[in-house]
Amino acid sequence: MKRYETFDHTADMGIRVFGRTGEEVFANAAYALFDQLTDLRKVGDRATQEISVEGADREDLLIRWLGELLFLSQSPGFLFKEFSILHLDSNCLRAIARGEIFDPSRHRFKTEIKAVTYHQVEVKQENKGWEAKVILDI
Amino acid sequence: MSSQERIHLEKIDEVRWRIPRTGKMRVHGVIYTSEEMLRDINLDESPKQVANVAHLPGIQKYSLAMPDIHWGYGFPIGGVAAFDWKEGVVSPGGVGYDINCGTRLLRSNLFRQDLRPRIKELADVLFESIPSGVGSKGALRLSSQELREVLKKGAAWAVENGYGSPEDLDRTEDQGCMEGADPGVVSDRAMERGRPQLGTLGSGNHFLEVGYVEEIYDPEVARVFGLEKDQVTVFIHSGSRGFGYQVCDDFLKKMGERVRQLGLELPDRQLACDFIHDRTGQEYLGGMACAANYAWANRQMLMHWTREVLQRLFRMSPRDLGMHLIYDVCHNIAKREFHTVEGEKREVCVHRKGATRAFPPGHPAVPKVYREVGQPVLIPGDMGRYSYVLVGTEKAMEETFGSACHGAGRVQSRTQAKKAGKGRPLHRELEDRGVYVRAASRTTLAEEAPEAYKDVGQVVEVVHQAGISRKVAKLRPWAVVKG
Repeated sequence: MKRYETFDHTADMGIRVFGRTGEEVFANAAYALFDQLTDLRKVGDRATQEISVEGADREDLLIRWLGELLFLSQSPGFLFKEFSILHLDSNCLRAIARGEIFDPSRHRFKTEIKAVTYHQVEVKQENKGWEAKVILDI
Repeated sequence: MSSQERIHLEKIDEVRWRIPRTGKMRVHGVIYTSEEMLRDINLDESPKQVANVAHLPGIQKYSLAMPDIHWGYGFPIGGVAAFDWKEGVVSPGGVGYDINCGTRLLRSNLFRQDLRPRIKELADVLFESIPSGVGSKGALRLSSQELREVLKKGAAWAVENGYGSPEDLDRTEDQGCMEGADPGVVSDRAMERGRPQLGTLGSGNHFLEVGYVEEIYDPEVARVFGLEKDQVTVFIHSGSRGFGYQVCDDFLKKMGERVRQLGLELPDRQLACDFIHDRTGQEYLGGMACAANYAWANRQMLMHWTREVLQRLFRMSPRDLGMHLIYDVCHNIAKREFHTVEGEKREVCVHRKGATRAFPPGHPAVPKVYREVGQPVLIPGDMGRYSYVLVGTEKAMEETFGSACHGAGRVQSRTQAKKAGKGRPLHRELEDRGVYVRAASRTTLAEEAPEAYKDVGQVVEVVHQAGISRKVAKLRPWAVVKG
């Protein structure tokens, strides 16, 4: 199953994420973020970080989740490639992210992602699985 | 993009279109544009966004858009909307993520012929000396305490620390420091993002552009501004970096909660707002002012380094170089201003997102040196084409809350631009046009290629024809540094 695809949105970038379960779609959204941000082949997975976010609903939760990861990518500069979602309901997410600290001698940012926006954000469950959509300000 | 009812536009005249009030709109919408540009505008959802803004409580007169209008988050980019200060709302989406993204223009005593033999060298030296690019770290290492000083004092902090001089502050909108800045409402997260980035240009459409005056349209005003034909100029376009983005993000979340608490029905989630007199509204204004001040301090520093580079390269003293600041304007901001509405003077909160203030002759906010002619309105174009200097008018006060356009809007998405740019020798194409670009990444160059933008000349023509600003000069880009 394809993890995600990108689509155009005026000056910015949209990502459409797929997953068999809600947990998988949230994990794949995080993967999509970092896959766009950097070359994940160059990122190790020895460091881990536990992340908890809350939201008013699933869409808000997705934005908080990606926003938290984006922040961590800049401060202190954490790059993640694998995500285990420990708990997910419509208001709360807990996960473990694996990756490593940004090392300028090995890592490069492909794109500057400045914000995760609310525009047309969507998290929905269909028969064939889950799908999420979010637009990133780049 | 979802399909939706076409927004009905009524022609008022050659450069004005009305969106009639329907449904829950509180006022009409008005878009300044030409017949030709209207075709592009109808391709994205931006007219719908103008109509959406008209739903917000306390909106005065009409929901406006400038000719560089294009789709944005909630409010369209190129949008202007004023809300009653006592009864109306403030909305982070009406300011933009990049709070106080703006430009400043410098003049100099150098002319084209002085620069011609060394233009490539200048491009290279500027690129080395001005920190730019994705996630670039600036030359400064600020403590939290120092950053709080920047947030409270803005450009004045920079002057106090040796960047430029007090005269620069007189030629900056709001003297480079917005009142009411409250570092106490700024999140740790925003502080974390802001600390390492002060003194950097940023990426995307931010740039530092050395150019020259190609044409003078209004010799009298040009003289007052200090501009003459063939004179070398510098445009600096930059904002509040990650700091502003984080402040906007933090308050979008808070405003979202407020909207739920208030039970406000909004046509778009991203129009999240609060009443100006309520706590979150006040806090946002305090945080926004911090970000505005950050951006002004930043532009003051970038200007200082640019002056130093030119002084060194040409072995000229500051006096001989004469690289004075003409003016600095914001184009993503919310301002507390007095405007005449229904015949009476009212205090309003004017949101300008991708729009520039354009105050007329005689207005007290216009620096004394320009008060007889009006406020300089700076319109950066894209890299391959022109930039413009305009002057504010009384008509702008009457019609657009003293506002005009800010530059060119995008027509191509970044992906489209990247595809179109693939394999093309962009550097060489631009050089053939006489523009030397130094960009940190090739991707940025493709995304910012001239074809990705509307023609700023057309945008300026509409504004000029509408009488909300008047053309003063046209500037041609020559050496450009981009992140």
